[in-house]
Amino acid sequence: MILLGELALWIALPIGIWGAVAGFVGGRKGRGDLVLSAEYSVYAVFFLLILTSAGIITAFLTDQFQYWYVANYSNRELPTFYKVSGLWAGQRGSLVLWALLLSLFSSAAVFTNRTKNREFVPYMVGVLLTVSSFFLVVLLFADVNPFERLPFAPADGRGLNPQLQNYWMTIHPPTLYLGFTAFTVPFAFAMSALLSGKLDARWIVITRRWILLSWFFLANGIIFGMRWAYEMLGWGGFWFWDPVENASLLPWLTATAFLHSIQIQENRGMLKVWNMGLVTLTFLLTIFATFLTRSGLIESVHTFAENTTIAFIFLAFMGIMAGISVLLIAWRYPLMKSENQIQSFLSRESAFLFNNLILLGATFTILWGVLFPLITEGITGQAMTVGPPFFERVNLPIGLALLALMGIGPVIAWRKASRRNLIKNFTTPVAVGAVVVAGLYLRGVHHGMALVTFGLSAFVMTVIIVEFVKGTKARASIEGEGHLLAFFHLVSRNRRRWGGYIVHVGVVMVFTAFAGAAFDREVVQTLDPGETISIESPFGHEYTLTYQGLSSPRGQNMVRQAVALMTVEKDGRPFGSLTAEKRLYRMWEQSPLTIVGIRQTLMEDLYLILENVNDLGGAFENEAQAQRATFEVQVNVMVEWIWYGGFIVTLGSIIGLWPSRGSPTTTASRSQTGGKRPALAARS
Amino acid sequence: MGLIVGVTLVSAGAILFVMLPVLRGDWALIERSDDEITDVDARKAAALRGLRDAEYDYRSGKLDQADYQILKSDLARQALEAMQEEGAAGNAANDGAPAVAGAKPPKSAAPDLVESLEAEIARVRKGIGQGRTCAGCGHLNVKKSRFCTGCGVSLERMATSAGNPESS
Repeated sequence: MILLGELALWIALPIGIWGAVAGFVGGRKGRGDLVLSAEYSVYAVFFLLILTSAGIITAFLTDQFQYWYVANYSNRELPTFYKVSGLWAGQRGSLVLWALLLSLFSSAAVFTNRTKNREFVPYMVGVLLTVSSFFLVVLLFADVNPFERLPFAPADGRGLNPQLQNYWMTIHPPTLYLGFTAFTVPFAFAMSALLSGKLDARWIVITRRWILLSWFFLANGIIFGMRWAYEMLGWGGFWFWDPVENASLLPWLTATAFLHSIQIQENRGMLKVWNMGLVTLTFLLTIFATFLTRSGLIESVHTFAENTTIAFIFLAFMGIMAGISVLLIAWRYPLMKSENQIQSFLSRESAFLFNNLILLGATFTILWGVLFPLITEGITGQAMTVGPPFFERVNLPIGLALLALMGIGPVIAWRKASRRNLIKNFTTPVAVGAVVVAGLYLRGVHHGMALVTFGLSAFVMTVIIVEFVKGTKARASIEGEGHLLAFFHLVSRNRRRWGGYIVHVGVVMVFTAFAGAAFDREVVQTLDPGETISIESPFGHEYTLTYQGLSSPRGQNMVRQAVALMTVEKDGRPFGSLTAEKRLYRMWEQSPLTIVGIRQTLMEDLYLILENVNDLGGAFENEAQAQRATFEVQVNVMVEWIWYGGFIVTLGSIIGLWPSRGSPTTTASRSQTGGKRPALAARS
Repeated sequence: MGLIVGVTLVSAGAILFVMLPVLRGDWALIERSDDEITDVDARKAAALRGLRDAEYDYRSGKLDQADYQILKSDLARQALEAMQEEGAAGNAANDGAPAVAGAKPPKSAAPDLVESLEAEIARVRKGIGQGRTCAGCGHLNVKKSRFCTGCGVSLERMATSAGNPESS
């Protein structure tokens, strides 16, 4: 199976290249046989990459340490669950996963378009297979072959980084990769529209769900990563503006801008060039994010220098794709002239345009923050760090402006809004926001930025609620329906708009949670068993934790484990117990891992960190004298709102993604029920 | 031995599968088929969607009546133009006229939505059809309009001075 997987990787490359060439030549020359061959190549590459992935997973499951990749990311005692996720634990497997997911989406795109949008298919397939082939070239020729053998087979592997031995880490990377790879499909359609000159609104209509699907996976991938950081990194935060985190945020920001700006193109025939630029930029940022995360560039410029092959190939590919995209846009510029102009500053398209500018501002600011240390280190040889203070200072006003626009946009009508209507529609939401700010201030909340965020969040939430209420009333009045039915139809008949509002609710919750972090509290104390530590939450609750002592069980793949038990009282009443741990994983004995204890409630989390054990060796041996330990107790405010907000974002995205009756997709589905593939005809 | 056979089968199978269309002369359609969305469909759907949103915006107080009327007639015109183009292309012109209610529904909108929106367009068109063209700016106003939504002049006063301006 492993050899078969290795061979499949080698076969996939020439088939991918053939398919890409066949797609482009078939489209250019009108050769339907070549186009069909290109489509079959997409399916073949997918099948071959399944074999490759199966080969790697088999190597992990059967402890084939003669392979460099397995030897470096697994060991015999590693739980099976993590052996399977070994496929994406390191750079080499991650690149295979990227190629696999891309081929999965490519196959889905070819399959769903087998009887429709046929004039876009040849070039679309060509672009998809070009990107696939690029990753296959990287895998085979950039010193990152997952099947590379060692000169000898070690008795055991080096094991998986303990921080990756967490269930969120098994979900987070594939979800993010699903988002990265899904965006290649809209990019391929956009390039196909440019190449074929069919630059009307159809490529947008065709790819709308793909864009939302990609955005949905990116959003969830980012939130899963935040959850992992919160649970595993043991410092009580969820976002550190780490370059890896930033790399995943960049394409999400531009994809968000794109989701809004395509509505202007659809409704007003404007921003055609802008949208082409955004789809290209987002695609390039997905590649850049993968490159940055998986090239070793982030840790050190020297790592970059050591593997110049992968860096050169990635940079060359990004440069070539950017260059070709710009040339194509310039070539087709006369066909992409705007059909309309913005009639008024007070219009929804104007709000969307501001939203785009702000999102792009955030993108380039973060990109600069990511690249600046690398550039300075490359030029001067000394690393200049750009840390959280820079990103927070710059992105805080940007985030607040975005939050405000989320409330302003829905209230403004397309084309032109009158001042009188704006005043009328904004009065209630602004009043609610002001009341919230005043109420919080009077209750002792004096943190300026947090107050602004809470006020804006209340403003946006009121706007959305009023939108739903007015929309339901309008529907009930227009259609003569009862209010409940009108509400159901309101959402179900225009899922995109109302699903979008639900997504906004989730985003507002996440913003509110960010502001809540301003009120986090913490206490650090060294305790012996029987001693207590107390902390008062911003909501006035008094938590008292009594240290019961350390025990030393031993979990799978661990050398030792020291578990501290605390009983908890909230306002004098029993509130369960919490444990916090130090673990020593096999093969990683020099790096003890801290496992936190979290007691989650809607408004505040009680977060326990076992900072230090005075005599860790003694504690591992269950010695009675080795019980003294230092704890950090935090009350983290409204963190749960991030996860609930993420859930609501997911719900809104699913509503937006759900196919409407009679939509292009289902129309085509119905037309396929004839059985025989209508796209095929004998060559005559 | 088994491995060699497996490897050979996978390689040969993959290559044969990919080359089959070229070898057999199977031909994929690479032009638009009749039953899929066209640019006209997309424009018509956008106009219909715009009409729906405009009505919601008007009823929920985001649009003034005057702005709503301008927007509505503008969007209705766009939808009708799209339908006329569709009719000219031979897709939906059985009676030779761009009949709104009988026009072929756009493929990108839900059937019930299409029905209601096309009925809406029919209402708009009927209103416009029996309405008045402003002699001043040429704007087509809905039936019984007292003032032109394009330039604001009194249509009744203009009618008095210009005889009978009713047009259909």
